[in-house]
Amino acid sequence: MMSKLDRREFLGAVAGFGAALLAGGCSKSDESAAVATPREPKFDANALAVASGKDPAKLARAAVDALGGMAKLVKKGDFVVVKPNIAWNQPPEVAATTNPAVVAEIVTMCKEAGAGRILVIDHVIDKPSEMVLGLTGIMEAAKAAGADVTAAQNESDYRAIEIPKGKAIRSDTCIKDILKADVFINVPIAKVHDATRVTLGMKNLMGCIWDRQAWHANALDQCIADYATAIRPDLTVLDANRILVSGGPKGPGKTKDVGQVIAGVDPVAVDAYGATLFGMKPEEIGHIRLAHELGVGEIDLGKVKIKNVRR
Amino acid sequence: MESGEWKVESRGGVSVVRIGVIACAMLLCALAAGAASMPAVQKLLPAKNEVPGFGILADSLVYGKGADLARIYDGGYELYTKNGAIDAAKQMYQRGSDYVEVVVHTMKSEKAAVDFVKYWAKQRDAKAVKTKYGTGFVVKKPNVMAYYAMGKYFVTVSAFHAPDKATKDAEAFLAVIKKKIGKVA
Repeated sequence: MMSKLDRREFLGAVAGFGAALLAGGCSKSDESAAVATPREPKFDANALAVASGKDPAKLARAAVDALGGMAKLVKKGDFVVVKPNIAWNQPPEVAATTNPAVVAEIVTMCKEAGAGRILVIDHVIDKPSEMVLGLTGIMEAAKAAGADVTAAQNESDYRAIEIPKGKAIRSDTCIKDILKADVFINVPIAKVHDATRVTLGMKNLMGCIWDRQAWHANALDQCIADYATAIRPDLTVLDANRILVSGGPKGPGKTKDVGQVIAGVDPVAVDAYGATLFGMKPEEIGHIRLAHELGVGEIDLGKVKIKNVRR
Repeated sequence: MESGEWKVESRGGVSVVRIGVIACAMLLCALAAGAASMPAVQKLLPAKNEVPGFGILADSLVYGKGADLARIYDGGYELYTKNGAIDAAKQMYQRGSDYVEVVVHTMKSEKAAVDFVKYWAKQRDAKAVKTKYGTGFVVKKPNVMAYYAMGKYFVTVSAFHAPDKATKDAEAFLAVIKKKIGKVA
């Protein structure tokens, strides 16, 4: 009998036959391209949980609990991939990378829900990646919580994917482990970004691809929106405990202690809320507006059920 | 061949030894040419132990020019190109558990280098002043980071260990780079 994981890979490979040609050079792997079919949401897709307070770990837990709890998403033995922002060799205080306490708490919650293997992974920009994993505090915190932590720094770590609804890109790559995962949790940090104004959940998915520069040379906002049509996290947990308000994406720059963690299934709604933390309207952010137009999610926060909790 | 005796074969009057000498000379020429074509910003990066005790972290050298500055700054590169950065080289150094990151940028002019330092001073709530290294400043939170204009070069040195020690280390790196600029420029 095929395992759950094998079946998913098999179906993806069959459905995506031919996209490897489309991806042309994105991956040197012999594997055919995958179609990452979004799973049915385990939480209310129209809800956002906003936890406010001072303790980043407690806020992460409170936000997920307010949605319904991690046990609704993670089942016994599941392979869970957690994707924080670990791009830069900056300490957590800079707010250029996800707060390690948030990452660790997500891992802990997955563990409590019965997850099998939990992998924390990112395509790290600064080099060497091992040093970055350490300096950000994420390596130590996530390992202590029970996760494996690694950086996807080799092209062989990626697999070609189709993006059938894409406008600027019709194919790209994704970290193989994300495609194999039973549960994929995106854990970005909220910060300003020189090219896209802000980087929140959907922009954080840029750390799932191999060739980042191709997007910078293309229509970046459209690429981000296109990719969000194909790779949809089961849950996005936005770290807004301390946000970087200047000097992004790498920092250092000015920071603001917001004291919030936002959790939701709808990546557009999460980002729309995140934009407001910087005093911006969601419609002003190119990739959020474009993703909404592509049907990825809801940009109008008036149409989203926001559940506020304090810790 | 008897022990201790080298037999040198001759091919058409050219000995193997002579071929070896020519090959070595060609190799040295190639290495010299490679060094000459190395971008100036890369030559300015301190070598191993030029700051005593600091080695170079393997695979940490990154060079980018124009839009390829994205290799260093990802989506943040446009801030640098807009402010006159032409190219840059970055390298990481390690001494035990102490890490230092150095980035040297070629700017379009000395003025552009100074102006960019002033831009960063504003961002970091600091004041750029003239020192023996050039015009710049050092901040100590959340980690030590020095920003300096040294002629047409804009240099940043980030050190991630205890502030007092890190400040001294950052200054040691600046001193080495300053000295190298004198030789390269």
